[in-house]
Amino acid sequence: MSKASPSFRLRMFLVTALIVAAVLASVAVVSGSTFFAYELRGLDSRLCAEGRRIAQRPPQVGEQERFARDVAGKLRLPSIDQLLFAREAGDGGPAVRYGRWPTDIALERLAWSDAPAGSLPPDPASGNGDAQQGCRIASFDSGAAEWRVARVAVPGANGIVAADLGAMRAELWRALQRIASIAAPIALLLTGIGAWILSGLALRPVNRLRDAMKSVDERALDQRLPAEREDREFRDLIASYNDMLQRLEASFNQASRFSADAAHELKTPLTILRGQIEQAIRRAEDSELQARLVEMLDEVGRLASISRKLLLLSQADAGRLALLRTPVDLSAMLNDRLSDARMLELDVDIAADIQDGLRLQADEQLLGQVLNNVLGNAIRYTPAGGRIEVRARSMPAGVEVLFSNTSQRLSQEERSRFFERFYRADAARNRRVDGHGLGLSLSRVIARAHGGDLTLEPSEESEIVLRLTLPSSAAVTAPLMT
Amino acid sequence: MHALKVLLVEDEARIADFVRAGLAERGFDVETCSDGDTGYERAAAGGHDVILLDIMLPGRDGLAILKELRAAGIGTPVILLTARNELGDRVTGLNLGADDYVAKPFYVEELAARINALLRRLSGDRHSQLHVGTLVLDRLERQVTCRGQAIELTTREFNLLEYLMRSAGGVLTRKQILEHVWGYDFDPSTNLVDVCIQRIRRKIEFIDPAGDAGSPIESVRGVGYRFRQAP
Repeated sequence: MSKASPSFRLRMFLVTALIVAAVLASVAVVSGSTFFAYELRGLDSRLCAEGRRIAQRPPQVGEQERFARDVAGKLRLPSIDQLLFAREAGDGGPAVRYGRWPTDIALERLAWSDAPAGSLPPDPASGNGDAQQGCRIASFDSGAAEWRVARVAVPGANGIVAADLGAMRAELWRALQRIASIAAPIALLLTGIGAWILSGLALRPVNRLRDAMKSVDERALDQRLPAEREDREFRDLIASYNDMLQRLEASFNQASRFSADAAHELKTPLTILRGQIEQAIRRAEDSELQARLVEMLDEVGRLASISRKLLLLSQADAGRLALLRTPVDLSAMLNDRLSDARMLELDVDIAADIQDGLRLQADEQLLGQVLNNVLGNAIRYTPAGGRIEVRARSMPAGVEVLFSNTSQRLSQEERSRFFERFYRADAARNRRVDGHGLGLSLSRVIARAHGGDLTLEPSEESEIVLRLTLPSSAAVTAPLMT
Repeated sequence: MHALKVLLVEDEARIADFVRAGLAERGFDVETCSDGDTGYERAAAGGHDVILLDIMLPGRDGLAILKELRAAGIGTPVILLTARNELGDRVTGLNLGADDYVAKPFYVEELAARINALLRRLSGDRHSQLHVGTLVLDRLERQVTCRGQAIELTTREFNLLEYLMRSAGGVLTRKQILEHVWGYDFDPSTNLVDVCIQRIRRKIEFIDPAGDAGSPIESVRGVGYRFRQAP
């Protein structure tokens, strides 16, 4: 997973949490407004009752304060400032006006509606249960406050009571906050657990798939992932992956088989050519002809060497490079080749620091080829006056050999193509040098087949440092025999 | 000394032809057959000093023949001539009881040398000493003497001299020598062989100054080297 994108699990959690929050919010809004409407109905009913009380039994002058407190208590208002009432007298009874009625409100102009049925309890005073004395309800705003007002008409008088809704809203808000403060953490916790479990469930087949994919490498391209036990959605994915693997295997095998087949098809004609030229050389009397034939024989040798390398490379590519492991004395192998190099008496300083008795389980012939290629390269490419140095020592995990030599300046591009097949850094400048650009590539696959590696180490531009590592034990990737 | 009997099982007629001719020139008595089933019958009938087995054959393949021969308790030395899946067959073949293998394409000279080396190895030290001219080479002691005086040689020089002495009278090219003494693809410089030969010559001349006949190791211009046959 890259740093830029957060984990799937985190995203799952965030999305789930967002959904749960939205659900909670809409539940809160709906239930809040329902609750508010319910409360409002209760308030309407109480307003009607109080309105009727005012109309029928208006408070005496001087008792208004006490009366207001009583009404506020009945209406469940926290303070009498949130209460207004009035009595419009038509029958000569006292007209009452209490509270800071806003001056700009014309009661007649409000949008009055009938109080819902049942909001006005039966009138005990009239003793007449069905006497539906009209109670009408309206709302008005004054400044920041929102008022609910009821007007009850009794014969000869109208009782009017208004209550500030702010208190009710505040109470509702407090209730919601109380609920949220308890519910939100629980919901969040449950969401987290749920999202974790869900994403785990969703990821399980993905993880299984990933593990199975990891076990597939170039040595086992013929593996297929089992799809039977997976869910339908993942069966499709696995099927696509298996298809891809099959195409990959097919083209890989084709490429690898091509060079193997080519190398093999070349073997018979090369054998015949070599045998017949060899015979012709023995029989030729003319030394001029003999020399020509030897040149031809050498060219056949070059062809044979290329085809042999191609065959080995294609076998290694297909993971089928067979190794014949025997105990091998690497120190002796290196010393032999170094004494060969010294025997050439080149104008090159050859230094060696070879630890004695470096033994390993290896294919002696193939390992010999690695050393031949690497040292041969060093000898070929080191300019006069240069230096070749070989250091070999045992490491905890095996053996390390460092080959360094002076070279012509090697650009970064040339370095990056160092192990490329048929690539020669000096192709343009140094035709004199022989070789076909397969040796290093082959050396590397041989080292890798042994469980080691051959790498180009960073160095100065005018130096080449190759590092060969080989594990000492035979307990490495076993060759896959066909 | 009777001619060594070789059974060659090889289906490619042109290869069988020059191998038979080449080995016959070198004193072997070669019998050939071109398919696996006949090959097995001939091999099982016995009477051969060595069997050369190609691997891809019509009928039984070379590895099957080898396996059945060994299962039947027939221990005639076998050299595999491998072409297919070279190293895989080499490993399988050696595990099945092959005594050596020679990868195609091979030099007949090299094949003959390998047959001789194999038979020497199997027959113990009967032929451990090699006498050519004034030189005596002892394989087991890894010692070379000239007129009774020891010559100090490096491993490479010893192997090269042995190869030349074994092919005394025949011309070996530089590439052949390189491949035999140094193995595959060691070609830091084409004059590695020349340098090595010069050193051997100097060491021999130090003891036995070249007389009228010149050095026992003769340069064949444009071709390679030849060890002079004893007069």
